[in-house]
Amino acid sequence: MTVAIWGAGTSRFGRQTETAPAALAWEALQEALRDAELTQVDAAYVGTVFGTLGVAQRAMLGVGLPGIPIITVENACASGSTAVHEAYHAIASGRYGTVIALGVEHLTSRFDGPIAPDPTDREQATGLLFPGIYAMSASRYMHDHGATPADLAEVAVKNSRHGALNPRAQRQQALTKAEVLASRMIADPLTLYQCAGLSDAAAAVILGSRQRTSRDVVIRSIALRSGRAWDHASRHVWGWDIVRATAKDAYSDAGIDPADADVVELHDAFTIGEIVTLEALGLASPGQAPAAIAAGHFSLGGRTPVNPSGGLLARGHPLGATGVAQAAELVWQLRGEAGQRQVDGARIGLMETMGGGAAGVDGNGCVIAVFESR
Amino acid sequence: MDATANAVSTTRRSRPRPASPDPRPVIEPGEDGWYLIGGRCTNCGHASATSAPRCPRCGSHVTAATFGPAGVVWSVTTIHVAHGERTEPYTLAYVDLTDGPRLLVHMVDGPAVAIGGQVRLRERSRLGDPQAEAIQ
Repeated sequence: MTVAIWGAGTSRFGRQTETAPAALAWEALQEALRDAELTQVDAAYVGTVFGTLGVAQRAMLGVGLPGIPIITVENACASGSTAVHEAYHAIASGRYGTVIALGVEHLTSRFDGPIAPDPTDREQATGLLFPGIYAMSASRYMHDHGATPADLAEVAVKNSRHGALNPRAQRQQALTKAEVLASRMIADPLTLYQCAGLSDAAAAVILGSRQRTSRDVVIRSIALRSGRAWDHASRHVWGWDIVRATAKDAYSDAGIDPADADVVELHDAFTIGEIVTLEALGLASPGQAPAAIAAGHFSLGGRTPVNPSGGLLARGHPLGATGVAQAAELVWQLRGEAGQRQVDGARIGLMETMGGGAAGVDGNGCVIAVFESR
Repeated sequence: MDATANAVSTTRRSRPRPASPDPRPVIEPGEDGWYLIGGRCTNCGHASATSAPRCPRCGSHVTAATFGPAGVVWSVTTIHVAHGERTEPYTLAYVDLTDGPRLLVHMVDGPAVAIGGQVRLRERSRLGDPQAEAIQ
Protein backbone atom coordinates (compact mmCIF):
# COMPACT_ATOMS: atom_id res chain seq x y z
CA MET A 1 0.00 0.00 0.00
CA THR A 2 1.17 3.56 -0.67
CA VAL A 3 0.77 6.05 2.14
CA ALA A 4 0.79 9.63 0.90
CA ILE A 5 0.38 13.11 2.32
CA TRP A 6 -2.74 14.62 0.83
CA GLY A 7 -2.61 18.03 2.48
CA ALA A 8 -0.45 20.32 4.62
CA GLY A 9 -1.00 23.49 6.60
CA THR A 10 0.66 25.58 9.29
CA SER A 11 0.13 28.71 11.33
CA ARG A 12 2.91 31.27 11.31
CA PHE A 13 5.78 30.68 13.76
CA GLY A 14 6.85 33.05 16.50
CA ARG A 15 5.86 34.59 19.80
CA GLN A 16 2.05 34.58 19.59
CA THR A 17 1.03 35.25 23.16
CA GLU A 18 -2.38 36.61 22.10
CA THR A 19 -3.36 33.50 20.10
CA ALA A 20 -4.56 30.43 21.99
CA PRO A 21 -2.94 27.09 21.12
CA ALA A 22 -6.23 25.69 19.81
CA ALA A 23 -6.61 28.71 17.53
CA LEU A 24 -3.13 28.07 16.09
CA ALA A 25 -4.22 24.48 15.48
CA TRP A 26 -7.39 25.65 13.70
CA GLU A 27 -5.32 27.67 11.25
CA ALA A 28 -3.09 24.70 10.45
CA LEU A 29 -5.96 22.20 10.27
CA GLN A 30 -8.18 24.35 8.05
CA GLU A 31 -5.37 24.92 5.57
CA ALA A 32 -4.50 21.21 5.54
CA LEU A 33 -8.11 20.05 5.15
CA ARG A 34 -8.71 22.51 2.29
CA ASP A 35 -5.44 21.44 0.68
CA ALA A 36 -6.39 17.75 0.97
CA GLU A 37 -9.97 18.43 -0.21
CA LEU A 38 -11.35 16.61 2.83
CA THR A 39 -14.02 17.46 5.37
CA GLN A 40 -13.72 14.28 7.42
CA VAL A 41 -10.92 11.99 8.64
CA ASP A 42 -10.80 8.72 10.57
CA ALA A 43 -8.42 9.67 13.39
CA ALA A 44 -5.86 12.20 14.60
CA TYR A 45 -2.42 11.81 16.16
CA VAL A 46 -1.29 14.96 17.95
CA GLY A 47 2.25 15.76 19.04
CA THR A 48 2.79 18.24 21.86
CA VAL A 49 5.38 18.40 24.64
CA PHE A 50 3.86 20.78 27.18
CA GLY A 51 0.20 20.28 26.32
CA THR A 52 -1.92 21.49 27.68
CA LEU A 53 -4.30 18.69 28.54
CA GLY A 54 -7.16 18.76 26.02
CA VAL A 55 -5.58 21.03 23.42
CA ALA A 56 -5.98 18.27 20.80
CA GLN A 57 -9.68 17.91 21.52
CA ARG A 58 -10.31 21.67 21.38
CA ALA A 59 -8.44 21.70 18.08
CA MET A 60 -10.53 18.98 16.45
CA LEU A 61 -13.89 20.18 17.77
CA GLY A 62 -13.17 23.68 16.46
CA VAL A 63 -12.75 22.52 12.86
CA GLY A 64 -15.78 20.26 12.83
CA LEU A 65 -14.11 16.92 13.59
CA PRO A 66 -15.72 15.80 16.85
CA GLY A 67 -15.78 12.19 18.03
CA ILE A 68 -12.85 10.81 16.03
CA PRO A 69 -10.18 8.86 17.94
CA ILE A 70 -7.49 11.30 19.09
CA ILE A 71 -4.11 10.03 20.30
CA THR A 72 -1.73 12.59 21.82
CA VAL A 73 1.94 11.61 21.73
CA GLU A 74 5.12 13.01 23.28
CA ASN A 75 8.74 12.34 22.32
CA ALA A 76 10.30 15.66 23.32
CA CYS A 77 11.25 17.64 20.20
CA ALA A 78 10.32 14.64 18.04
CA SER A 79 6.68 14.68 19.22
CA GLY A 80 5.28 16.07 15.97
CA SER A 81 7.26 13.72 13.79
CA THR A 82 6.18 10.86 16.08
CA ALA A 83 2.57 11.86 15.28
CA VAL A 84 3.40 11.59 11.57
CA HIS A 85 5.05 8.21 12.20
CA GLU A 86 2.00 6.90 14.04
CA ALA A 87 -0.38 8.22 11.40
CA TYR A 88 1.68 6.50 8.70
CA HIS A 89 1.70 3.13 10.46
CA ALA A 90 -1.98 3.35 11.39
CA ILE A 91 -2.78 3.58 7.69
CA ALA A 92 -0.16 1.10 6.51
CA SER A 93 -1.47 -1.49 8.97
CA GLY A 94 -5.03 -0.95 7.79
CA ARG A 95 -6.25 0.54 11.06
CA TYR A 96 -7.44 3.83 9.55
CA GLY A 97 -7.87 5.27 6.05
CA THR A 98 -7.26 9.01 6.39
CA VAL A 99 -5.45 10.42 9.39
CA ILE A 100 -4.41 13.87 10.61
CA ALA A 101 -0.97 14.36 12.14
CA LEU A 102 -1.05 17.63 14.08
CA GLY A 103 1.75 19.26 16.04
CA VAL A 104 1.01 22.14 18.41
CA GLU A 105 3.01 24.03 21.01
CA HIS A 106 2.58 27.30 22.86
CA LEU A 107 5.85 27.93 24.71
CA THR A 108 5.39 31.63 25.48
CA SER A 109 2.50 30.87 27.80
CA ARG A 110 4.70 28.43 29.77
CA PHE A 111 8.15 30.02 29.94
CA ASP A 112 9.63 33.51 30.15
CA GLY A 113 13.21 32.57 29.45
CA PRO A 114 14.79 29.20 28.77
CA ILE A 115 12.69 26.07 29.06
CA ALA A 116 12.77 25.31 32.76
CA PRO A 117 14.76 22.21 33.69
CA ASP A 118 12.88 19.20 35.01
CA PRO A 119 13.56 18.75 38.74
CA THR A 120 13.00 14.98 38.47
CA ASP A 121 15.85 14.50 35.98
CA ARG A 122 19.26 14.06 37.65
CA GLU A 123 21.16 16.22 35.16
CA GLN A 124 18.51 18.89 34.62
CA ALA A 125 18.24 19.13 38.43
CA THR A 126 22.01 19.73 38.42
CA GLY A 127 21.49 22.77 36.18
CA LEU A 128 21.90 21.29 32.69
CA LEU A 129 19.51 23.31 30.51
CA PHE A 130 18.87 22.34 26.87
CA PRO A 131 21.46 24.83 25.56
CA GLY A 132 23.91 23.22 27.99
CA ILE A 133 23.31 19.72 26.60
CA TYR A 134 24.19 20.97 23.12
CA ALA A 135 27.03 23.17 24.37
CA MET A 136 28.70 20.07 25.83
CA SER A 137 28.52 18.49 22.36
CA ALA A 138 29.88 21.67 20.78
CA SER A 139 32.87 21.85 23.16
CA ARG A 140 33.70 18.20 22.58
CA TYR A 141 33.21 18.42 18.79
CA MET A 142 35.50 21.45 18.59
CA HIS A 143 38.11 19.58 20.65
CA ASP A 144 37.90 16.41 18.54
CA HIS A 145 37.78 18.01 15.09
CA GLY A 146 39.42 21.42 15.46
CA ALA A 147 36.20 23.27 14.63
CA THR A 148 35.86 26.89 15.73
CA PRO A 149 33.03 29.08 17.06
CA ALA A 150 32.92 30.68 13.60
CA ASP A 151 32.20 27.24 12.10
CA LEU A 152 29.21 26.89 14.39
CA ALA A 153 27.98 30.39 13.58
CA GLU A 154 27.87 29.56 9.84
CA VAL A 155 24.89 27.29 10.47
CA ALA A 156 22.92 30.19 11.92
CA VAL A 157 24.01 32.45 9.05
CA LYS A 158 22.85 29.94 6.41
CA ASN A 159 19.54 29.20 8.08
CA SER A 160 18.81 32.88 8.71
CA ARG A 161 19.31 33.53 5.00
CA HIS A 162 16.78 30.80 4.24
CA GLY A 163 14.41 32.08 6.91
CA ALA A 164 14.42 35.51 5.29
CA LEU A 165 12.73 33.85 2.30
CA ASN A 166 10.02 32.21 4.42
CA PRO A 167 7.01 34.44 5.14
CA ARG A 168 5.91 32.15 8.01
CA ALA A 169 9.29 32.06 9.76
CA GLN A 170 9.90 33.48 13.24
CA ARG A 171 13.23 35.05 12.33
CA GLN A 172 13.17 36.60 8.86
CA GLN A 173 16.34 38.66 9.11
CA ALA A 174 19.51 37.43 7.44
CA LEU A 175 22.32 37.53 10.01
CA THR A 176 26.05 38.00 9.53
CA LYS A 177 28.61 35.78 11.20
CA ALA A 178 29.72 38.75 13.33
CA GLU A 179 26.15 39.35 14.54
CA VAL A 180 25.74 35.69 15.46
CA LEU A 181 29.02 35.57 17.40
CA ALA A 182 28.38 38.92 19.11
CA SER A 183 24.93 37.93 20.37
CA ARG A 184 24.60 37.17 24.06
CA MET A 185 26.43 34.04 25.32
CA ILE A 186 23.92 31.43 26.52
CA ALA A 187 25.97 28.26 27.13
CA ASP A 188 29.57 28.49 25.99
CA PRO A 189 30.19 28.37 23.00
CA LEU A 190 26.52 28.80 21.94
CA THR A 191 25.36 32.40 21.61
CA LEU A 192 21.73 33.57 21.47
CA TYR A 193 21.38 33.40 17.68
CA GLN A 194 22.78 29.87 17.73
CA CYS A 195 19.79 28.76 19.79
CA ALA A 196 16.20 28.42 18.64
CA GLY A 197 14.04 30.92 20.55
CA LEU A 198 10.72 30.38 22.31
CA SER A 199 8.04 29.90 19.67
CA ASP A 200 4.32 29.21 19.28
CA ALA A 201 2.77 27.45 16.28
CA ALA A 202 0.80 24.55 14.90
CA ALA A 203 1.32 22.41 11.80
CA ALA A 204 -0.80 19.67 10.27
CA VAL A 205 -0.44 17.09 7.54
CA ILE A 206 -3.17 14.72 6.41
CA LEU A 207 -2.23 11.20 5.31
CA GLY A 208 -4.20 8.86 3.06
CA SER A 209 -3.93 5.28 1.91
CA ARG A 210 -3.02 5.92 -1.74
CA GLN A 211 -1.57 8.54 -4.08
CA ARG A 212 -4.53 10.26 -5.77
CA THR A 213 -2.72 12.76 -8.00
CA SER A 214 0.86 13.95 -8.47
CA ARG A 215 0.18 16.57 -5.75
CA ASP A 216 0.04 13.83 -3.12
CA VAL A 217 3.52 13.27 -1.69
CA VAL A 218 4.43 9.63 -1.07
CA ILE A 219 6.03 8.58 2.22
CA ARG A 220 8.63 6.00 1.20
CA SER A 221 9.71 5.26 4.75
CA ILE A 222 9.53 6.59 8.29
CA ALA A 223 11.52 5.21 11.21
CA LEU A 224 11.42 5.86 14.96
CA ARG A 225 13.87 4.89 17.70
CA SER A 226 14.52 5.83 21.29
CA GLY A 227 18.08 6.43 22.42
CA ARG A 228 20.32 3.81 23.94
CA ALA A 229 22.60 4.60 26.88
CA TRP A 230 24.77 7.69 26.44
CA ASP A 231 27.69 7.56 28.88
CA HIS A 232 31.46 7.09 29.26
CA ALA A 233 31.32 4.12 26.86
CA SER A 234 29.75 6.17 24.04
CA ARG A 235 32.04 6.82 21.09
CA HIS A 236 30.24 9.92 19.85
CA VAL A 237 28.75 13.10 21.19
CA TRP A 238 25.20 12.94 22.50
CA GLY A 239 22.56 12.33 19.84
CA TRP A 240 24.86 10.98 17.12
CA ASP A 241 24.24 7.25 17.51
CA ILE A 242 20.44 7.52 17.63
CA VAL A 243 20.36 9.54 14.41
CA ARG A 244 22.77 7.12 12.69
CA ALA A 245 20.73 4.06 13.73
CA THR A 246 17.36 5.60 12.81
CA ALA A 247 18.72 6.80 9.46
CA LYS A 248 19.92 3.30 8.65
CA ASP A 249 16.35 2.02 9.18
CA ALA A 250 14.81 4.81 7.09
CA TYR A 251 17.31 4.55 4.21
CA SER A 252 17.05 0.77 4.10
CA ASP A 253 13.22 0.81 4.14
CA ALA A 254 13.16 3.44 1.38
CA GLY A 255 15.96 1.83 -0.62
CA ILE A 256 17.99 5.06 -0.82
CA ASP A 257 21.41 6.40 0.10
CA PRO A 258 21.65 9.79 1.84
CA ALA A 259 23.14 11.28 -1.32
CA ASP A 260 19.81 10.61 -3.07
CA ALA A 261 18.08 13.30 -1.00
CA ASP A 262 17.43 16.49 -2.98
CA VAL A 263 16.26 18.52 0.02
CA VAL A 264 16.58 18.01 3.77
CA GLU A 265 14.81 19.37 6.85
CA LEU A 266 16.74 18.46 9.98
CA HIS A 267 16.92 19.28 13.67
CA ASP A 268 18.97 22.44 14.16
CA ALA A 269 17.63 23.53 17.57
CA PHE A 270 21.22 24.68 18.14
CA THR A 271 23.89 25.22 15.48
CA ILE A 272 25.97 22.25 16.64
CA GLY A 273 22.87 20.11 16.17
CA GLU A 274 22.96 20.64 12.41
CA ILE A 275 26.69 19.83 12.24
CA VAL A 276 26.42 16.62 14.27
CA THR A 277 23.25 15.55 12.45
CA LEU A 278 24.71 16.08 8.97
CA GLU A 279 27.51 13.66 9.89
CA ALA A 280 25.26 11.14 11.62
CA LEU A 281 22.94 11.17 8.57
CA GLY A 282 25.91 10.42 6.32
CA LEU A 283 25.59 13.72 4.42
CA ALA A 284 29.10 14.72 5.53
CA SER A 285 32.09 12.69 6.75
CA PRO A 286 33.11 12.87 10.42
CA GLY A 287 34.56 16.31 11.14
CA GLN A 288 33.79 17.55 7.61
CA ALA A 289 30.36 19.16 8.02
CA PRO A 290 31.74 22.65 8.81
CA ALA A 291 33.82 22.73 5.62
CA ALA A 292 30.87 21.53 3.52
CA ILE A 293 28.61 24.19 5.08
CA ALA A 294 31.20 26.90 4.42
CA ALA A 295 31.51 25.69 0.81
CA GLY A 296 27.78 26.20 0.31
CA HIS A 297 26.89 22.55 -0.27
CA PHE A 298 23.91 22.77 2.07
CA SER A 299 22.68 26.24 1.11
CA LEU A 300 19.80 26.98 -1.25
CA GLY A 301 21.38 26.75 -4.68
CA GLY A 302 23.96 24.27 -3.39
CA ARG A 303 24.33 20.52 -3.82
CA THR A 304 21.84 19.42 -1.13
CA PRO A 305 19.92 22.30 0.46
CA VAL A 306 19.42 21.71 4.18
CA ASN A 307 16.70 23.56 6.08
CA PRO A 308 15.41 25.69 3.19
CA SER A 309 12.58 26.71 5.56
CA GLY A 310 15.11 28.36 7.84
CA GLY A 311 15.14 25.31 10.10
CA LEU A 312 14.42 25.38 13.79
CA LEU A 313 16.78 28.33 14.22
CA ALA A 314 14.96 30.68 11.83
CA ARG A 315 11.55 29.14 11.08
CA GLY A 316 11.17 28.49 14.83
CA HIS A 317 11.00 25.54 17.19
CA PRO A 318 7.64 25.24 18.92
CA LEU A 319 8.58 21.79 20.14
CA GLY A 320 5.60 19.60 19.25
CA ALA A 321 4.85 21.46 16.02
CA THR A 322 8.34 21.20 14.55
CA GLY A 323 8.28 17.68 13.11
CA VAL A 324 4.99 18.30 11.34
CA ALA A 325 6.27 21.68 10.10
CA GLN A 326 9.25 19.86 8.56
CA ALA A 327 6.85 17.47 6.82
CA ALA A 328 4.78 20.41 5.52
CA GLU A 329 7.90 22.15 4.17
CA LEU A 330 8.97 19.00 2.33
CA VAL A 331 5.48 18.60 0.88
CA TRP A 332 5.65 22.16 -0.50
CA GLN A 333 9.19 21.61 -1.79
CA LEU A 334 8.34 18.34 -3.53
CA ARG A 335 5.24 19.86 -5.15
CA GLY A 336 7.17 22.90 -6.38
CA GLU A 337 5.11 25.22 -4.13
CA ALA A 338 7.92 26.61 -1.96
CA GLY A 339 8.11 30.04 -3.58
CA GLN A 340 11.40 31.89 -3.20
CA ARG A 341 12.98 29.07 -1.22
CA GLN A 342 12.13 26.38 -3.81
CA VAL A 343 14.78 23.72 -4.39
CA ASP A 344 14.54 23.22 -8.15
CA GLY A 345 13.56 19.74 -9.27
CA ALA A 346 13.33 18.35 -5.74
CA ARG A 347 11.95 14.81 -5.93
CA ILE A 348 13.24 13.10 -2.76
CA GLY A 349 13.01 14.81 0.62
CA LEU A 350 14.56 13.74 3.92
CA MET A 351 13.30 14.83 7.32
CA GLU A 352 14.88 14.27 10.75
CA THR A 353 13.92 15.33 14.26
CA MET A 354 15.61 14.21 17.47
CA GLY A 355 14.32 15.21 20.88
CA GLY A 356 16.12 14.74 24.15
CA GLY A 357 16.70 15.80 27.71
CA ALA A 358 16.57 12.54 29.65
CA ALA A 359 19.87 12.08 31.49
CA GLY A 360 22.02 9.22 30.26
CA VAL A 361 19.79 8.57 27.24
CA ASP A 362 21.16 9.20 23.75
CA GLY A 363 18.16 11.20 22.64
CA ASN A 364 14.61 10.53 23.86
CA GLY A 365 13.36 9.86 20.34
CA CYS A 366 14.40 10.28 16.72
CA VAL A 367 12.17 10.14 13.66
CA ILE A 368 13.56 10.08 10.12
CA ALA A 369 11.40 9.95 7.01
CA VAL A 370 11.90 9.80 3.25
CA PHE A 371 9.31 11.53 1.06
CA GLU A 372 8.99 11.36 -2.71
CA SER A 373 7.03 13.13 -5.39
CA ARG A 374 5.88 10.93 -8.25
CA MET B 1 -11.70 37.30 63.10
CA ASP B 2 -11.57 34.72 65.91
CA ALA B 3 -9.11 31.82 66.30
CA THR B 4 -11.72 29.13 65.53
CA ALA B 5 -12.54 30.57 62.11
CA ASN B 6 -8.82 30.72 61.24
CA ALA B 7 -8.29 27.09 62.27
CA VAL B 8 -11.16 25.88 60.08
CA SER B 9 -10.02 27.83 57.05
CA THR B 10 -6.46 26.46 57.43
CA THR B 11 -7.55 22.82 57.41
CA ARG B 12 -9.74 23.39 54.34
CA ARG B 13 -6.89 24.91 52.32
CA SER B 14 -5.22 22.32 50.09
CA ARG B 15 -1.87 21.06 51.39
CA PRO B 16 1.31 22.14 49.69
CA ARG B 17 2.57 19.69 47.05
CA PRO B 18 5.44 17.56 48.48
CA ALA B 19 8.72 18.10 46.69
CA SER B 20 9.80 15.16 44.53
CA PRO B 21 12.86 13.25 45.80
CA ASP B 22 16.26 14.63 44.78
CA PRO B 23 17.29 12.66 41.68
CA ARG B 24 20.93 13.84 41.78
CA PRO B 25 23.72 11.30 42.31
CA VAL B 26 24.85 10.32 45.81
CA ILE B 27 28.26 11.72 46.83
CA GLU B 28 29.84 10.41 50.04
CA PRO B 29 33.13 11.09 51.84
CA GLY B 30 35.68 8.29 51.92
CA GLU B 31 39.28 7.50 52.64
CA ASP B 32 40.94 9.60 49.93
CA GLY B 33 38.28 12.18 49.25
CA TRP B 34 34.74 12.18 47.89
CA TYR B 35 33.11 9.31 46.02
CA LEU B 36 30.07 8.64 43.83
CA ILE B 37 27.80 5.80 44.93
CA GLY B 38 26.56 4.27 41.69
CA GLY B 39 26.30 0.80 40.27
CA ARG B 40 28.28 -1.83 38.39
CA CYS B 41 26.83 -4.54 36.21
CA THR B 42 27.32 -8.06 37.56
CA ASN B 43 27.52 -9.37 34.00
CA CYS B 44 29.47 -6.95 31.79
CA GLY B 45 31.07 -4.73 34.46
CA HIS B 46 29.61 -1.54 32.99
CA ALA B 47 29.69 1.35 35.50
CA SER B 48 26.66 3.54 36.06
CA ALA B 49 26.03 6.75 38.00
CA THR B 50 22.52 5.77 39.11
CA SER B 51 20.71 3.28 41.32
CA ALA B 52 18.77 1.80 38.39
CA PRO B 53 18.37 -1.97 38.88
CA ARG B 54 19.43 -3.14 35.42
CA CYS B 55 22.48 -2.42 33.28
CA PRO B 56 21.76 0.16 30.55
CA ARG B 57 24.14 -1.69 28.22
CA CYS B 58 23.36 -5.40 28.67
CA GLY B 59 20.26 -5.48 30.86
CA SER B 60 21.74 -7.66 33.61
CA HIS B 61 21.56 -7.05 37.35
CA VAL B 62 23.52 -4.15 38.83
CA THR B 63 25.04 -3.98 42.30
CA ALA B 64 26.06 -0.88 44.22
CA ALA B 65 29.58 0.35 43.54
CA THR B 66 31.77 3.25 44.57
CA PHE B 67 33.66 5.45 42.12
CA GLY B 68 36.21 8.25 42.42
CA PRO B 69 37.60 10.38 43.77
CA ALA B 70 39.43 11.29 40.53
CA GLY B 71 38.39 11.57 36.92
CA VAL B 72 39.03 13.22 33.54
CA VAL B 73 37.02 16.05 31.95
CA TRP B 74 35.18 14.82 28.83
CA SER B 75 33.49 18.14 28.10
CA VAL B 76 32.77 21.47 29.77
CA THR B 77 30.49 24.47 29.31
CA THR B 78 29.64 27.61 31.24
CA ILE B 79 25.96 28.49 31.53
CA HIS B 80 25.18 32.21 31.33
CA VAL B 81 21.46 32.08 32.10
CA ALA B 82 20.00 32.45 35.58
CA HIS B 83 16.94 30.35 36.43
CA GLY B 84 15.16 29.20 39.56
CA GLU B 85 17.57 29.48 42.49
CA ARG B 86 20.61 29.45 40.22
CA THR B 87 22.63 32.55 39.47
CA GLU B 88 24.94 32.74 36.48
CA PRO B 89 27.56 32.08 35.37
CA TYR B 90 28.19 28.51 36.46
CA THR B 91 30.47 25.91 34.88
CA LEU B 92 29.39 22.32 34.28
CA ALA B 93 31.61 19.44 33.24
CA TYR B 94 31.08 15.84 32.24
CA VAL B 95 33.74 13.93 34.18
CA ASP B 96 34.63 10.32 33.40
CA LEU B 97 35.52 8.93 36.82
CA THR B 98 38.48 6.52 37.01
CA ASP B 99 37.18 3.09 35.95
CA GLY B 100 33.75 4.56 36.44
CA PRO B 101 30.78 6.31 34.90
CA ARG B 102 30.38 9.75 33.34
CA LEU B 103 29.12 12.24 35.93
CA LEU B 104 27.82 15.79 35.50
CA VAL B 105 29.43 18.12 38.05
CA HIS B 106 29.79 21.79 38.85
CA MET B 107 33.41 22.93 38.59
CA VAL B 108 34.40 24.95 41.66
CA ASP B 109 37.20 26.54 39.59
CA GLY B 110 34.73 27.88 37.03
CA PRO B 111 35.76 27.85 33.36
CA ALA B 112 39.48 27.35 34.13
CA VAL B 113 39.39 23.67 33.25
CA ALA B 114 40.01 22.00 29.89
CA ILE B 115 38.84 18.82 28.19
CA GLY B 116 41.29 16.11 29.25
CA GLY B 117 42.05 17.83 32.55
CA GLN B 118 42.34 15.80 35.75
CA VAL B 119 39.80 16.55 38.48
CA ARG B 120 38.65 15.14 41.79
CA LEU B 121 35.22 15.11 43.40
CA ARG B 122 34.34 17.50 46.17
CA GLU B 123 31.48 17.68 48.65
CA ARG B 124 28.05 18.60 47.27
CA SER B 125 27.49 22.33 46.78
CA ARG B 126 25.20 24.52 48.85
CA LEU B 127 22.45 23.80 46.31
CA GLY B 128 23.16 20.03 46.57
CA ASP B 129 24.99 19.60 43.24
CA PRO B 130 27.90 17.22 42.70
CA GLN B 131 31.10 19.27 42.48
CA ALA B 132 34.67 18.74 41.34
CA GLU B 133 37.91 20.68 41.39
CA ALA B 134 40.86 20.61 39.03
CA ILE B 135 43.91 18.73 40.22
CA GLN B 136 47.11 20.64 39.47
